[in-house]
Amino acid sequence: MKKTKLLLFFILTAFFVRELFLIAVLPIFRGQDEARHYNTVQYLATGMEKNCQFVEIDGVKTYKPNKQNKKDLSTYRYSDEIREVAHISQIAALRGEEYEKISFSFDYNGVGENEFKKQKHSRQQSFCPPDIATSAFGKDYLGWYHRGLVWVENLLQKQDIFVRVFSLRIISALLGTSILWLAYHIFRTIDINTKQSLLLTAIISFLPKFSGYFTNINYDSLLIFTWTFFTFWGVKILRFGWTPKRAFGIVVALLVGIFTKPTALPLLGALLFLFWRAPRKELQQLAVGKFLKILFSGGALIALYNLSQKAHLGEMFSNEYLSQLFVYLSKSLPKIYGSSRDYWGVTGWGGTNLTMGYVYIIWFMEWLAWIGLFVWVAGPYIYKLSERLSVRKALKKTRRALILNGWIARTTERKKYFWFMLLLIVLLQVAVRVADWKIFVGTHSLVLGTPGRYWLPNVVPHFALLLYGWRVLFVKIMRFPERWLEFYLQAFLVLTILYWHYKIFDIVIPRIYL
Amino acid sequence: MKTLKVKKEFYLLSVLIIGLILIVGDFWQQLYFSDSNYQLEKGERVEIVPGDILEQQFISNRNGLGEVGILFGGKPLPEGYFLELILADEKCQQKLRTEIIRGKFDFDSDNLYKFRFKPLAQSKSQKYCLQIVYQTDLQQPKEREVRLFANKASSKTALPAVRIKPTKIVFNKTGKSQKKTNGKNTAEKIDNEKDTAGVIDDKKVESEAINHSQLQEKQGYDSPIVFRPGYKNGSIWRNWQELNQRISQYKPWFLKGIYLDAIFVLMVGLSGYSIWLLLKK
Repeated sequence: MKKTKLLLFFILTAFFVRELFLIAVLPIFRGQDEARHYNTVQYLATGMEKNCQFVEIDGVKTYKPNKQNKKDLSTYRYSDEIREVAHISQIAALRGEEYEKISFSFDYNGVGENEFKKQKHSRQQSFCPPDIATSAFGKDYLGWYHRGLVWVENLLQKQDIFVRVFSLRIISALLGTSILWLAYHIFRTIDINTKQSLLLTAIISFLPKFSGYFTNINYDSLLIFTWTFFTFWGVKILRFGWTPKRAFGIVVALLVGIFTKPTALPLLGALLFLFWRAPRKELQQLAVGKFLKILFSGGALIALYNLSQKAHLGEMFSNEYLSQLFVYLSKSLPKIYGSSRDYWGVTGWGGTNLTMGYVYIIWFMEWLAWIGLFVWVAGPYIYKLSERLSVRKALKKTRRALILNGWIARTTERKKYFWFMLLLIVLLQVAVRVADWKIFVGTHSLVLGTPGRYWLPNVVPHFALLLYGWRVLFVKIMRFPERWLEFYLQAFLVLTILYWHYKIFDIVIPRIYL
Repeated sequence: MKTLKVKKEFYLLSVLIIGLILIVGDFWQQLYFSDSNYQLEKGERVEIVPGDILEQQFISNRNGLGEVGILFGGKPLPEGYFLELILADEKCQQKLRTEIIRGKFDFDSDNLYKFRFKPLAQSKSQKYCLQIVYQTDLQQPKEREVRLFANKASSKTALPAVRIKPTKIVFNKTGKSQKKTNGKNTAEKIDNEKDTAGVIDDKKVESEAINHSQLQEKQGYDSPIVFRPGYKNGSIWRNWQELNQRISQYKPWFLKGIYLDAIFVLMVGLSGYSIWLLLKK
């Protein structure tokens, strides 16, 4: 037990230090929408004060037009300080062609960096309306993520912007580390042994998309954390039943998730599953019974309805939206392979034959797991169907049929984890596609899309299902010993380690610095 | 069975170590520091055809010149054609380093081709001549252009590029002269079929009073081509220091210099140790 804790500690610490290195490698505002999220934090930290410039056009007072160059963040409607640091750090050079580089000095400080740090810069918004990360709950609604970071921003307000921005990045890294801790305990709760749980945790820690995402300032990092936090309490409830502590944990996860980003709304649907599938014994011991189950389910549904209305999701049932659903799905679903590539860490400019080779190996391994899962889930029904088709006698003769029948009976308990994980994956897909569909109807194009990072909240359920599938295929059907499954996971770990290092040292660093 | 278990872990560790060595090797091959005095921006199109030589003179700003990145564009280099990249002395006569790019080679529209070579240790303030020689092996080649770019903004110190198009005046039996492109194989046949069309016969040329000064036609451009030198330091430590400097720029104090060194060492140590623990029995 002590050795396990020590090894887990090393995995988590190694991840955190790798994140620190990656945070140092990635230039300021290089992350996805990072400048916008940081601008949101500054906007809140300055009390939402604006120093807007106005002009009169045809007798109407309007915001001074701002000519924005997509490549150049110093032209965006951000605070003066962000615009100035974007200019001085030459960010535009890194948003252009792959061969463009910034001009480096022969020093540890960049060109103009020292002078910039000595000057005072305004954190106020002069270009309006401010470009901030609002939510589907309304353009005046700013989530708990940004509000939480304001505390750190204000604590460090006397430091230069580099200290503040990179400190907020470190908070993302801490969230990522916490997710790995939760991941390990989720795996252990759903009956995955210690070694396999540690290996899965280590594999996730080396996934480039996961690793890269927790070097950014982005509300998705808190969303992924709360989603995983919800999963953690969810499996605890499924295994051990409801207690006040677990109920509190679930409620906190829901509140923080939903008020960070409405993508967490479908977790209310997962909550219903937990009400109805948790062990009854504990519910009876708490004297809640059927009445309270119905009461809480009703409460969850009402909350889901109200929040959905607030996020204007009711409009989705109008003719305007429904008529475009088929068109949307026909354009969006074929892009699933692109989303999957992105999820596994193959980005546009980082794509090479080698990286695609890595993805093809991963996809092959995934398909093996899905085959195993299919056999596991569909097996009993096929077995029952065989009786009706009078082939049971023939099937009975096969060892495999016998094994499946016996094993399936024993693993009914595990099946509830399977359904819970699958439900989480489906709910998130629905949430992401609904948001994408909403924007599609307005713009008639896939402006938002479903990039792989949107799937990250389910990285733990995804890997749990993969392990279940591999176990069925290799251990139960092909009769390999359990240690061969561990060897398979070790090989997967080696693959992800090599890919992570290849991506950072052979693609990212040369792209930015050489 | 115990022996079998040991073998499995051994294989995995071997794969991991070999993989990491290859990754480090690839990283080392790419470890050339681009010259920040050069800007890569597309400009005027420069198109060369088989037989052309493009010359670009420039001054190396540092010691350790080991790379010249050349911005190509447009069509790929077809099968049967090749480009010889030459780094020569300032008079464009003595070859110092060469590389040949053979077709079929894909120069897509954003491609920077990096001509890499053994670094020249004492290159600071030395003038060099980059030559791009376009040739073909084909007996009857077509005029397939290779595209580069010229831009004044590319460099303040490099000289304007020069394109050398070898030409020759030959007199056919009727005494009329005709220009013809040079090289072993020409793209065009001369009108008089009885002459040895497509083949240059020096003796015959001399007897027909070729004007040797017209053997090369030079076309000068206003600007240098779009290219960028790269340098490598003499030692691993010096290279690491310079990389550390570049990464440290526009970062907070706790992610610069010695702190970055410490994070890197800690990362290698912790990751290595935890991987070792996970892979062992």
